[in-house]
Amino acid sequence: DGAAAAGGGGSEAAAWGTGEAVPYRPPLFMTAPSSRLAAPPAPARGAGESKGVTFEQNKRQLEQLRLLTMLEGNRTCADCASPAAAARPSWASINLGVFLCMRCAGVHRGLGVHVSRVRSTTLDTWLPEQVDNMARLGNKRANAHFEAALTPGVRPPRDCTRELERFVRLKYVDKVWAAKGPWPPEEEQPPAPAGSQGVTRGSLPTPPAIGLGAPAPAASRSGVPGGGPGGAGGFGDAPPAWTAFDSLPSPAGAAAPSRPQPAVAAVRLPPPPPVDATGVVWPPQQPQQQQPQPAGWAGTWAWPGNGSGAGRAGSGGGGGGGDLLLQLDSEEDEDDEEEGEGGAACAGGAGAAPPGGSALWELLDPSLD
Amino acid sequence: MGQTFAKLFDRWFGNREMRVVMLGLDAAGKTTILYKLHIGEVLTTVPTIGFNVEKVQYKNVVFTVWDVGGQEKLRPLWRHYFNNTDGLIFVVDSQDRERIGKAAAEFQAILQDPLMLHSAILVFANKQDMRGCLTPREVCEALGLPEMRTRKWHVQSSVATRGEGLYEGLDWLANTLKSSNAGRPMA
Repeated sequence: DGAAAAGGGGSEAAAWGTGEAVPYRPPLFMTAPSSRLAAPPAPARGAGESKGVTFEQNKRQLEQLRLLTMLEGNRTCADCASPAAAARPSWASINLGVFLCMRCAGVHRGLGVHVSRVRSTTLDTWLPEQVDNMARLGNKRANAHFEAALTPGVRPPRDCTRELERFVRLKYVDKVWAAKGPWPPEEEQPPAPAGSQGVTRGSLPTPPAIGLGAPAPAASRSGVPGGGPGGAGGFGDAPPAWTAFDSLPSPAGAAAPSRPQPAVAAVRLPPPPPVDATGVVWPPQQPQQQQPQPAGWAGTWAWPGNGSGAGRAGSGGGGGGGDLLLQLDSEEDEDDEEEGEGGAACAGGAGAAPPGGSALWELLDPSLD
Repeated sequence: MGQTFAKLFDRWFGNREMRVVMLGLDAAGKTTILYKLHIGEVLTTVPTIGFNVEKVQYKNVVFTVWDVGGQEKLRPLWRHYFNNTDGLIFVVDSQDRERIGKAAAEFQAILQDPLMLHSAILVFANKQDMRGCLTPREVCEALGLPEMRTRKWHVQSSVATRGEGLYEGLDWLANTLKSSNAGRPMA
């Protein structure tokens, strides 16, 4: 065996040595040190996303986030609520305002950035507004909104990722159990009553001063130019126009700011009526249910039957269909070539109504498992 | 013995090996692409802390694809994967308009690395099924590719969860490899 291996190695070396066509690439340690060391130091990081947040500043913010995840309610994942130590939240959705475990973070990332924008509380750069927002919202408050009509105790089995995925989609995309009103709630709302996440930035325990001469956050923040190349700022900025499709709540919730949002009272609210406006009931064989039956996850799982997700996904696929054909190449810069098979596949995907939705449906189909 | 024959067989039929590193911002779809190519299934992935590496055979090319986590603190580690790479796959979440500028900055930083001067560049404009997404042309322009005359690049629209566009991208990589004689014969 050893001999065979050595022989193989020798023939390989021969092939590498003689083959004119195959350039020999020495391993890194054999290359001239100057070529390695002359490499510029790590390029400046944080050009667009971190928007001038300094390392020290970010360190303080991550410390604040760490303290936030130690609060009751944020100590367990907002979706799976697993008590396991490994499932302690170290991820967060910056627009939904929830702290998540790693697995649920993975599920959230699959929803698309129009639903959830996931960041790590340890590995990412945060803007001060984003941290403030997490302090303002938090798991308790968010769940009081998104699980308002959910019978307590109805949760997907924690070990079944598929069920969890379905649950998360119903919770945040279809908003089956959500209370009325916009989410996140308006800024100028008075802080929620004691029952919910009553943590403001001011009441946070101040992290210990790190390093020497750390700049005051406010001062350094004022020096930040107006944002990244896209001009899009942090969380507080107006969302781009294309998010207005569905992720924003219905205008019916405009009256919500007048109503205080006590976490406990919200639980009594009836579930939102099924969406009739879209007129899409898909798949048709599913009877429209007035209410989800939270009879337990092991048993039947009532399909909410509003079908809006399917309709939206279908239309989205149609809109993008033309662009799918576009192939850009360095050889032929200027002309858009359409490849036959790819084009056919795309046309099929865009033409028929349900394919976008069928994937969604397969994901959510209660009969599958 | 069998091993020797396998090696001979591979050499006769010209199997080639290509080392590819797959990078991009977090949540762009790198791991989903990797496992869609490797096992043909869509996995519910968790954020990658570290890397995944798999071999993907397409036509007569065996791609060794390194999929490295894209969280901000992991990005400075990318350059440790640059040595001896034949190709770069850069994955962009076409729906994330807010962070396309950030993606472009990271992309340019990769391309300026001396170890990546000769690699072919394949860009997946991923998540093309999401509404409001950037078109491949917009992605191409945002990344500054049209000004890049000296490199071999290709922008491929893709939907990783359905497998659309992935093999087309590998096709381009394989052909580029063939024409430039990069890559090595299978050992």
